[in-house]
Amino acid sequence: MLEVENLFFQYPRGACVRAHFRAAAGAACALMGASGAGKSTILNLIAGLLTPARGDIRFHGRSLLADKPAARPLTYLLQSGNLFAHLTVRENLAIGLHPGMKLTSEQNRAVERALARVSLGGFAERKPPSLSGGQRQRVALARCLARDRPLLLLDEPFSALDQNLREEMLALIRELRRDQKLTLLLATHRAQDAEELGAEVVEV
Amino acid sequence: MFGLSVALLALALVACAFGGLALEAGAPQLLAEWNKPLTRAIIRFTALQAALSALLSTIFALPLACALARRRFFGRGALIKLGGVALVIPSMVAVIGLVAVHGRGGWINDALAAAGIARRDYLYGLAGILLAHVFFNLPLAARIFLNGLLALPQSARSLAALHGMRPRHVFFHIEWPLLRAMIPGVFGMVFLLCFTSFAIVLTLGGGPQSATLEVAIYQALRFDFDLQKAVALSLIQIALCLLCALLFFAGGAPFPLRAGDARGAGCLADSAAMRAVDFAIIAAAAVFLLMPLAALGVKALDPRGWTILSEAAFWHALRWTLFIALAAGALSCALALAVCDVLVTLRARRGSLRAAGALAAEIAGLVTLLAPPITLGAGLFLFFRRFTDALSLGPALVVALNALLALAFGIRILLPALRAERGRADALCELFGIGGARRLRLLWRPLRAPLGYALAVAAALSAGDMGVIALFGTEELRTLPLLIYRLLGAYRVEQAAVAAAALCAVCFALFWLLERLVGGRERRAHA
Amino acid sequence: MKKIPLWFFLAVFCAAAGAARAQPVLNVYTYDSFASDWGPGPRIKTAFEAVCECELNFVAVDGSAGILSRVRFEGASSRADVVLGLDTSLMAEAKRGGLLAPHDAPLDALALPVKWNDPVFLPFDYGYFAFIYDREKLPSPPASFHELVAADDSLKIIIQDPRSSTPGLGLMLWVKSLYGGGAAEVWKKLAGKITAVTGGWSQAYGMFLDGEADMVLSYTTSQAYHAAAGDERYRAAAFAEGHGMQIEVAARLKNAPNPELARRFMRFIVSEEFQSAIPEGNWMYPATRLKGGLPASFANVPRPARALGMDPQRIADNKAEWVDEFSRALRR
Repeated sequence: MLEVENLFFQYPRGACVRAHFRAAAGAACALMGASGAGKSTILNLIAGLLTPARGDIRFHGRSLLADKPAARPLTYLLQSGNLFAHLTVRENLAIGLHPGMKLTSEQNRAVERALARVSLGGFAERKPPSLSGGQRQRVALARCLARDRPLLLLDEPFSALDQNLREEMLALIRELRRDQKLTLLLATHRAQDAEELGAEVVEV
Repeated sequence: MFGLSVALLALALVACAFGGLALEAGAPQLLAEWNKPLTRAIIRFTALQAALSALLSTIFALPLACALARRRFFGRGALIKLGGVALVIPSMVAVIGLVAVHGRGGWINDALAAAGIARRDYLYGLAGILLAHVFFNLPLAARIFLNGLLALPQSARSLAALHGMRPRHVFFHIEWPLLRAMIPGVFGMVFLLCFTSFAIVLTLGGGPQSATLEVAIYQALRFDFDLQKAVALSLIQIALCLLCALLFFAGGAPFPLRAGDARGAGCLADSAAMRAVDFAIIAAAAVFLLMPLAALGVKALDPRGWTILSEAAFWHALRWTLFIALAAGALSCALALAVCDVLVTLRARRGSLRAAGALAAEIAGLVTLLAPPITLGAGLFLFFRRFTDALSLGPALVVALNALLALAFGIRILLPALRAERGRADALCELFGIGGARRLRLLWRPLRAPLGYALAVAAALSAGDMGVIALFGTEELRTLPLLIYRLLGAYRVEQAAVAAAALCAVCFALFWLLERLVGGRERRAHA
Repeated sequence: MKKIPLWFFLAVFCAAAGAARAQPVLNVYTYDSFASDWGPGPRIKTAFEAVCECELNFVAVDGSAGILSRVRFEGASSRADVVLGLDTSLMAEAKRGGLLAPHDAPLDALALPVKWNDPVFLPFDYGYFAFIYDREKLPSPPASFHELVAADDSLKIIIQDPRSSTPGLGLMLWVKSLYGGGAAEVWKKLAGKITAVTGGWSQAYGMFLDGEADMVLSYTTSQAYHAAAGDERYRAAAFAEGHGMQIEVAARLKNAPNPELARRFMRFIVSEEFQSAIPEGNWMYPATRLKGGLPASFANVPRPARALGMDPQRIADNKAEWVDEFSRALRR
């Protein structure tokens, strides 16, 4: 279970963000609100990219605040810029498993499986600039998959995609959730996204 | 096809120069010159010092660029800006500053002596040449590397944190691959700039043991009036440089130069030790780069030199300097824009032959960087003297030559920008039937920043020119560099220092003003 | 952007218009320090213009070796009437081109250390090459060329390149006339002491004043410049074997646009008005005896025991080979 308790964060320029909600293990939860409401900020706080002024974040009863971002039991799909343009698809995945890209053979197999899962098996040696927008988003998702962490944070995962690609991504995320028993936290400004993922809505 | 005709004009100027020399001297004795042991020795030394200069500049620029990309501190913007203008500091001015810091009676030796360590001469000979070349090229190289690092998206920082990357991971997997791709271009650029270096080698080279081709050409032309030898050596220099350019730039387009801004991802992963190392690197570089300028400033504070400011000769030279800088800058910019437009058009047409031709043309755009200005100047003069009183063309020739010499930089600055903008705008213009002046107006706004930068570089380079003006200077046509040279020749060392500081200030002011006025407020460069 | 071409053409026009002024213009090609505002040029210009009803225009070239190149370079379009600032080492070469005409000036007023009767080249000043040192930093300089050669390598000197600089060439001939076939050995021994071989005199002297070396190749009369400025520190080192001498000459061009004016100027060169501008303008000895004698600043300048000169033809015949010998010896 993910518990976000009286979380409070203040930007240096004055704007502040509060959050208080919980999500059951294996559940999906959608942070809804207009853009600028602080959805990404809350995800960044949970991921550890920002440090809250007050409040606590617990997962399965244990506080995450002392953990470094990479040590937290989560994986995070940024709204944009998930991939390094100069690294191949395989390297972009590898960097998620070991920051120095030194993978065990088991991890290598995990990378292959994840790529196959998002139907990009033959693309391992390509570089992101030669891929389409939808393919790039799938590579990023494959990395989340390969990392195999119980909590998945998604920041506007469909905003740059057209209707078909959106359907495709939705299906993929649903499948992942089912197979890996993920707890899903989604930031979006569209009610439809929450609905189709069967997510519980938290207004921000 | 306005662009094509202007580009052809530039080509015609170069052709006239060599035609003029060939008509005067007959066929150059290329092979005879090439086979002389002395020529071989000169070529070896020229290549050696250029390679070492490029190697050192690149090696030092890499950590400096990384440190600048990671750190935010007071004065960072100014330091990075300095990287953009180091290119335009006139070399005779820089030499005065370098001698004041590194000479036997300079600051460093004074400090050594005060600490009880014997003074040592390290400024003359190969070491001096390398020191001066690194002084000029380190900031430029660092600036290009920095631009590459700053192209990383803001999200890179989040990614590094999310995946727990340590500083060494960031360096080996993110920074290094980015930098490695740029190394051949940067190395090649510095190599070419140093291969044709002239004033520095002449003053700091320490004698005949360190002559470069450019110096040999100068001597053949100025003191022996041996046109055949000058042409032969010039052609050898151009051929060798082109060969090197092909080697360095074959992997991709030659280095792009970009004004750009200095914001970016910042530090992806940090540690206290790395912070200390970074700031040490930045401090060392700042001291190395700023000390000669500071020394020049200190020398200019000597009140004995101030009298120059009340002499008519100074203001006369200042006026000519400004005129030549602005006229040559504008002409150079127009030429560069025309050449780039032609290059982009050629590239846009598919077909491997055309594309190969376009790459060849792009590299040929570097020729003016490679051709010795004194040979071009002499050639143009000899060409025109067949038809007219060439002496009265002095100012026009000085302007035209300086414009040509700055052309290579203009092309490197404008080409990437124009290519990106036309890529965006060409289809739209076709669709909406926008042509001619309207299309230019449409392109003006996005091209303003690079145009301003190109104009600033060309004008400042022309203001500091000594190679061309030494050939055409008369009593009437006198610029600040010529004035400094003459002040030195008249035992007026203090006044020369003031004039040198003034010249340096003029170059910086021209650079800053033109980039601001023409380029508009600094805007975020397009990705 | 639109205004610049306008200025541009205006400037070209102005420069062209300069050629078409009403008064005849006498163009004298000379080296830059002679013509500069701080050299003898302006004073000579005023004095000559007062008597000639013409305009005297100095065209400055960087260094005397460049004057001849410049005239050849300009070819038929050259406006040169007179070249001023060649020296004995360039005379034979200058004659070879057939560019020059006799000077037609009287030679009886000349007061040179050697006898002069050349019909083409007219001396206007002379001087002795010497190493200048700072008395405070180098209390006991070498007293002979031999001592300089034998000195420890910690004694640093700056010299000039014989290809591009008159003193540089002068030093080469000085060494040659002292040591003949042993010159290469001497250069090898000097190599360790040479901080820099500069292209021109100005860089060398500037570096010396900046403290870059203990001694610099210049003229004995450089001491007079410092004395006139009230600075007694800088002295010329007198060498027992004698000093290389330089005689600077002027010549009239055969294709001069104003031959008559040029002839008048040649006569003017040996006049008191011209010569009196030399000592504290060009910092050389005048070619004639001045009515008022030499200025006080010249009082302490050492007079060499022997003036070493060389036959111009011998210089012309061997210069290339000697320069090569010099370059190879220093190339280590």
